[in-house]
Amino acid sequence: MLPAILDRARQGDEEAFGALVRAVGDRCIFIAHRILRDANLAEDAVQVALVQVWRELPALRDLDRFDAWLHRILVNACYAESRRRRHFTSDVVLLETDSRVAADDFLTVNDRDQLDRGFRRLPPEQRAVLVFHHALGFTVPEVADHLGIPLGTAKSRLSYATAAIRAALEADARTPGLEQEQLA
Amino acid sequence: MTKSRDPNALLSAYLAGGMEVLPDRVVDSVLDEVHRTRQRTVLGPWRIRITSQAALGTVALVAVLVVGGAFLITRDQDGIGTPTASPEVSASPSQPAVVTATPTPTPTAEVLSLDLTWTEVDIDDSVQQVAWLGDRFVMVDDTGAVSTSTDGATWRALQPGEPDPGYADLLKGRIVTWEDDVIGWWNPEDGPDYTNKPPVTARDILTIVQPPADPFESTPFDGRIESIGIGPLGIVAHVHSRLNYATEVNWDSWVTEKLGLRTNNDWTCCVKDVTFQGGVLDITLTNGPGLHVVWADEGFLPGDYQDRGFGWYSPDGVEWTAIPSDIPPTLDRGDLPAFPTGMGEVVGVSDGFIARGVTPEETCTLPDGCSEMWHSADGLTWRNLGHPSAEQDFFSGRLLPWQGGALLTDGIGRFDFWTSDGYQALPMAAELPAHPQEDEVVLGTGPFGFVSLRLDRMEILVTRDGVDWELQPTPSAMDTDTDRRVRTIAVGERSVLYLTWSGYFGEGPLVPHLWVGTVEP
Repeated sequence: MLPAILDRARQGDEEAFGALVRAVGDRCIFIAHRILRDANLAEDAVQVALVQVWRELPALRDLDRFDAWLHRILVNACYAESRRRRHFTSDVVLLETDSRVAADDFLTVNDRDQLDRGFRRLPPEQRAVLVFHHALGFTVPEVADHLGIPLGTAKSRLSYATAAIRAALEADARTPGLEQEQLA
Repeated sequence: MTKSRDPNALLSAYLAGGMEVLPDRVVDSVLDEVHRTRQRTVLGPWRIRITSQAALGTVALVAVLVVGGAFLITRDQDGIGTPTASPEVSASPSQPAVVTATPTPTPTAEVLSLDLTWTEVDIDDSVQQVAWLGDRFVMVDDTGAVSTSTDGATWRALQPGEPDPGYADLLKGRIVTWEDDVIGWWNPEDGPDYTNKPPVTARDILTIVQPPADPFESTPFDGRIESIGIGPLGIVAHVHSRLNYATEVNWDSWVTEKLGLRTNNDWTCCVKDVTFQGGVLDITLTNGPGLHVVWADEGFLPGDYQDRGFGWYSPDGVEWTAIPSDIPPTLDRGDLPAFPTGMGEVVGVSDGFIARGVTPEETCTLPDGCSEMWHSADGLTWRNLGHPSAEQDFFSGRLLPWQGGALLTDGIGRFDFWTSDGYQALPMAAELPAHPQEDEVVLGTGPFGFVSLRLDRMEILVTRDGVDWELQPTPSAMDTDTDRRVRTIAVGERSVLYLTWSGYFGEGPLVPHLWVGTVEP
């Protein structure tokens, strides 16, 4: 069904594109939210990506490559969203705990904090590799293909990111000092 | 403790949580925007590779006609209007700049081809950087030894084995040039070699500036230098707010954690007062101690370079004056610091400076960006030039000095040429495949022109004047396998240098490779 929908959408059928959005939208928000770790940013990135998919779809010649093509557009939208919002964000909303991320029995609160700290420090390119590999279960060559990067780059990004996460997990005993803090 | 501490397992569990359903309102919003968005028109073959000037000229003519026609139609449909012949600068942040600026071909005694012939040059494995500085290429290695060259192929050792206080230090930092003037800068986080060093006024044409290691005691720069523009009227520096770079503390997580502990993870219930002034955030709580911390836009991350920016101007690189700002930063989004407090990338142009800057969201009617271009004739007072287009991602690409103006470009499909009169979107000679990642394009400008190397396809895009373009493949040997992301293109008068690497971090030495692209009359 998807190729038929794709073909119709490529020819400008908005109804078919609506069906396509509903077919891939959940996957897009799954990926974007895990890369950006922020619901609002993720929704914005998905919206930008899907509109770009609509605009660029006529240029996609090989419909079998749609998934990888979509993923590239989506992760680039995530990168752009991450960069763009870094220019603007200057209120305390970033301190808000993301309530949509459910606690996991496997993870302690401390684990989550350490992982979150480590993950948020990563550049979005490395986050994307982790998400595709660990959350989507892609092999490293598949990650490289879907992100449009050389295999060596995917390997190195995965290596760096994993090392950073490991370092964050091992740094739990090294809490920052209070020298910058003043009692109000 | 019986739980596994396997990082991969923990990471998978961590990433398992999160949104899984795209909200209906987002779907509706997408479809609503799709209804108002035209699909791309595909012309000719999907991928066009042009290697001859004659072919390029033919395709360029067709492309300019077609793209130009489409441009006029689109602009009319958007109600923006067609470009006019007379200069008109938008004073309102919500209005687009009018297309008036045009790059002018560089007058030369001879007409140079755009075809680059690439050869690899033997260099020492210790080479770290190359650049075009005024009238020569300069290459420095990790010992501080410096070599110079006018063509990139033949190099002369300047101070073999001896650290040179000018060139070597300069090339370890970041540089910008204007004709024969060069300025370089470091930041404390660039490494231990650069801490506690006084600003260096190097010999010859070189000037080096550096903020002190301790941002809290800095004068004149109060934080981190992100961008410097140099032009005939002096220097403008884009500097970020005060941060303690010496500590390896992620303030964002730290503040979140502290507030969580003090408010039982419901800190909004207990906030008594919040103030934000001069880069310092104060939070007082009703149930106990609050916080007093320095601030960066993405959070409290030391070293983050995207925090709010401030501007400084100097006529000579020695005496600096803070660019005045009328809007104090506060936590109220309605008072989001506007330019020049929200200053971004800056370059020198023939009649002053052009910079990107933040615009308060309430005054921005564009759906995808609230940042605009600014021009200053004196480095201190700034005039809004407007926004190029609502459809373009304003934050992608780089701002490069070129042809006496500023080129805002992603290196493959977006070429906005800005001057004090506004901007012109330069037409491309061919339709290029989109969506490269930012780190897959290496850009350079210099006397020869603009050069862009797209790493995912290893194609070089060259133009001298923004009118004639050449898209050409590169030798396969230039496509080295490495994870080192910093590659350099240095553009000279009739040759282009590409410094790349082979090897991977942690898997043996990273070996530099220098390629020289030369042109013939």
